[in-house]
Amino acid sequence: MKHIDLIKLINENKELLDRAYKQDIITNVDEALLDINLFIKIHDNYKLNQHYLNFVDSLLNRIDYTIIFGDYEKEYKELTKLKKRFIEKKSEYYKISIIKLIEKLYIKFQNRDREIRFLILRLENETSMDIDLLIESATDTLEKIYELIDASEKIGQFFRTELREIDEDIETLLQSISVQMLEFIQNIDKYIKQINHFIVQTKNRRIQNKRFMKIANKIINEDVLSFEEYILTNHKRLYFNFKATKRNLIRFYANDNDLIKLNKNLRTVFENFIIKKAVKKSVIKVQEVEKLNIIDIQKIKKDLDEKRSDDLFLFIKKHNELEAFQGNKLIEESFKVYLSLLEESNIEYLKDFNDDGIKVVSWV
Amino acid sequence: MGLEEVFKVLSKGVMVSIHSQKYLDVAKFLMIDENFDETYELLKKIGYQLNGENGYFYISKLEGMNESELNSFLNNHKNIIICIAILKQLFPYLDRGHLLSKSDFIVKVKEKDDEALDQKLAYLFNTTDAMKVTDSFFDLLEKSYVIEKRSNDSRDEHLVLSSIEYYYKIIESVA
Repeated sequence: MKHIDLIKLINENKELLDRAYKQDIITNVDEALLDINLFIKIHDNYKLNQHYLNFVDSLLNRIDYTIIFGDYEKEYKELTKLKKRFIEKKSEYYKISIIKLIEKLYIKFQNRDREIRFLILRLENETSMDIDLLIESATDTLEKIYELIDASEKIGQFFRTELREIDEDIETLLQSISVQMLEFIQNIDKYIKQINHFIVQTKNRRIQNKRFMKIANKIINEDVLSFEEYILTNHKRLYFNFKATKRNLIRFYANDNDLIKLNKNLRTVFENFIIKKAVKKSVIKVQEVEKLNIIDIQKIKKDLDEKRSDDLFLFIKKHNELEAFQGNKLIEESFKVYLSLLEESNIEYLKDFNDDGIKVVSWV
Repeated sequence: MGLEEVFKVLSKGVMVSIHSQKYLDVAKFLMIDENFDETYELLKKIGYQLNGENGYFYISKLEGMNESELNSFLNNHKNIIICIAILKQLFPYLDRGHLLSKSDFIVKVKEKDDEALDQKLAYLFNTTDAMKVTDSFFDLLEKSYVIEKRSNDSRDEHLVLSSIEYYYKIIESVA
């Protein structure tokens, strides 16, 4: 039978397959479906083949808690054997077998990753199962995932080291899947943490439910001493329901007119009061003396008269009156002094500009 | 929404949950620190404390209570704790955000067929009529702001509010 014929056969029997999938009792099945082993007879009834159920459940993300992940030991042994033979004989047949097996393992890793993800999702969204059973199922799942750590790492290691550089095509395939493979392996740790967290949360929920039951039973049996004691001791921060008492009920709120009336009345009451104005004791804050760097321009002028200069700006910049400044601040302050001296009569403008980009002026 | 409207709601004894549809504006107002502080100061002046905890706001009384207030204060807490214990027995995964319906509740009570459960319901309500018990049960939880009927939903759906955590805290401290 061809694949297309199988699809046709499934389509022709879709109603029956759907009933069987939904656990309906099936007592009569077309011979063709039995020939391809899609149905298996058990006692008087016909059941769907587990392979078909696995395939459908996997596509529909319906992962059962009883799922067995298994390891990759068979594939690992086969891969080791194929590698050895390929190295010895360099046959294309072994190369293709290795590539097929790598692809098969990659798909297996991917499916497993997806199955674990959906299994965790199912656990987290479970609301119909008994809470104790859910904790047991989660613990079982956790154990199964723990078993995968070594098995996955073994394959990952084999791909990373043993199969490298034996053939160009194998190398290309391994490189193309390496990042994703590493992610699948690292995801296992993430899933373990997630399930552990879920188990702790569910156990806390179970404890909380039991506590509610315990206190409720005590209240029913009027064994309420410790409960009442706690409520009364903490009344200042416990919820107080106003509705229970009429004394504290706020019946209405002041509207704008009420407030105007109230203000008016208050003014009448208070207008006869003489309020002495308090003498303000002002504290006068002492002005802090700002420390300034004052440049003695007269001294610079005196030195200029004595020594002369071909570049006024440079002379000012190097003068010890400006030694307190550095960098841009030095340029800035020197320029201020330079500007103030340009008014003097004994200067002569030259054509050049100095290294600081300032017009060269000589002091004559 | 201003301080006046918020004060009106809180002074009626409403426990405001952050995902309540009915008091969404009040919750939003109180989630702003400045507004919370202002309301806190105002209520403190008239002898009440505004508490803002894990997703809910409520008022507590700073002064001592008279006898009738005290009785109602205690009974209120006792009744709601029994109600939540019943809910937890019927829906073990119940938490804030969970949707409850009266029909599910009736079915679960019948399925359980538990004498201790009947005893708890009898303690709360003076009737054995399943419909009346269910109505009273939901009414009590709704009046105590633990659940809220979905306003835009014609189906029989009640949302479990964040305020359920207030009772979790009490249980953790007492048990």
